[in-house]
Order: sequence, then structure tokens, then C-alpha cells
Amino acid sequence: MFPILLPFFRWCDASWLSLEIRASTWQFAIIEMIHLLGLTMLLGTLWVLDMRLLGLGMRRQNPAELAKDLARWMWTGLWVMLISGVLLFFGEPMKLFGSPSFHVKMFLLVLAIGFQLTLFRRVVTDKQASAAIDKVVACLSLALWFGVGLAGRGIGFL
Amino acid sequence: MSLLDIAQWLQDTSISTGIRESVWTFPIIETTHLMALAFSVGIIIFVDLRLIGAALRDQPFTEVFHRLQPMALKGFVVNVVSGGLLFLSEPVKCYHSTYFMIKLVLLFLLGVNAIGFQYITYPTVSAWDKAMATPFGARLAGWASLLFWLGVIVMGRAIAYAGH
Repeated sequence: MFPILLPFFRWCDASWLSLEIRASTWQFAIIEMIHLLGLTMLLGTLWVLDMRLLGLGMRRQNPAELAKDLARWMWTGLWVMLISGVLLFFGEPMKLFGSPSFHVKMFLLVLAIGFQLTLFRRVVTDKQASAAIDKVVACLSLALWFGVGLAGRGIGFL
Repeated sequence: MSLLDIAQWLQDTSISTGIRESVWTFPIIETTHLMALAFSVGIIIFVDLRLIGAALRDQPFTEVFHRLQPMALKGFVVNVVSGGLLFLSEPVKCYHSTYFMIKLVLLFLLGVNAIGFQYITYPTVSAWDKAMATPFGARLAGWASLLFWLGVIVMGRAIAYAGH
């Protein structure tokens, strides 16, 4: 990772929070399980929405209505992921500093959230959007979030 | 021949050893298992949330069910296959793992719950299809499913932490 960030990672590694989380194996495991449950909720919401844009799954509501209907679940899932993710980070900062998978995950995560809150939102609420653009946006959303998930799992290996 | 003998026999097969000692095969199967679960369970929770009246309330239950369940089922097939391969790669560890046993019991209960719902509550669906407040049987099935899936996910992750 960028050497300039090393002091920050070291600071996290020495923090009270980090020592607390590392104090027992079960603390980290439980946070990881919460991260997994949040992932299921977040990705579940996004799959349903992306499937709609691809013309699959739910079909009576237009994408904007569906997005509005599912918004609270998406945000709940996202907050659970972000909070548990930060706690997981504090559980092993130095390992993550050296993990290529973690770097890729963070890069894709920023892209995915940025994409979700800008272009995706725009297309979903724009009644004029064509089916072709809908499909491109859905595929990008799937690819980005799938990438985040893959890279996240990769942390255990790389 | 005991279950442990069978597990040991499976463990000694070349396919089991192959996956277990591979560099990439096991991680790929495991990651597929994880992604398929995010897809299938992620989608099915919306059917369950509709059953308990918490999400997609202005859609009839049958609409939500018929649109989402087939997709979730396809993803679930991937989970069963990948899960089977994961089991095959370390049958003895699974045999000794309480978490694995609980996971299997929960999966069985999910099946019982689905069948129970199909034959007991679903036949009355036209009475409550469009309602936001669903009958007791529907809410029970929905909550049971959500809690069992939560258990499956937690137990599934715990297997890797279990002592050998």
C-alpha cells in the first residue's frame, strides 16, 4: 500500500480498539459474521434492483419505485458493512496494509459506492433512460460489487 | 461401517485430496459458495420480508414470490453443488464439526418450513395476497426462514474456525 499511509496503519494497529478486537478470536469472528450478514442484505437489495434493470425478477414497479421501496434495506446493509468493515480493519491493520486484495477491495468499494450514488441513481430515477443504458448500468453495478466481494474474500488468501 | 468410516473413505479419494491440497481449486469453490449465497439468500430474504409484511408491501405476495423465488433457487443449486464439493474436500473435519451439523439441521428445517408453508399456508394465499398484514402462518414461515438462514450463514462461517 502507499508508504505514506504506513504511520496511519501503525497508529491503528497500536490503538485500544485494535487491541480490544484482537483480545479474543471470537470477537473478530462475530464481527466477521455480522459483516457476512450485512453483505447478504446489501447485495440482496442490489441484485433485486439490478435484475429489474435487466428486465428480470420484479417487473410491476419501474426501477425508480423499486429503488425507493428497497432503499432502507440497501442503506441498512451498507451501514452494517461499513461499521463492521471498519472494526474488521482495526482487527488486523498491518496485515491489510500488506494485502493486495485489500487494496483492490478498497479501490473497488470507493468506485462501487460512488457509482451507486451517482450514475446508478440518476439512471434509475430517469424515466427517459433506455433499456440499453439500464442494462449497462446494471452490469456495471453487478461487476463492481461482485468485485468488492471477491476481493474481500481474497484477503484471506492474498 | 460408521459415518466416520465413510467420511474417512471420502477423505482418501483422489478428488477429495485434490481439492484439499490444491492452491486455487479450494479458494475458487469457496468463493463461488460465498457469492452464490449472497445472491440466493440475498434475494430470498425479500420473499421472507414480504411474508412478514416488512418489505415490498404494495406488491402482492404471489408477485414477489413468483418473480424472485426462481432466481434464488438457481443460486441455491450453485450453493448445494459448491457446498457438496467443500464437504467432499474435508469430510472428516465436517464430521467432527458441531457447526457443520447445526448447519445441516438448519438447512433441513428450512426445507421443512418451505414444505409446511407450501401445503398449509400458501393454499389460502388469495385471501391475503394483496394484504400488507399477513396471516400468522405466513409470518411464522417468514420469520423462521430469516432466522434459519441467519443461522446457516453464521454456522457456515464458524466451520472454518472449528478446532480439528
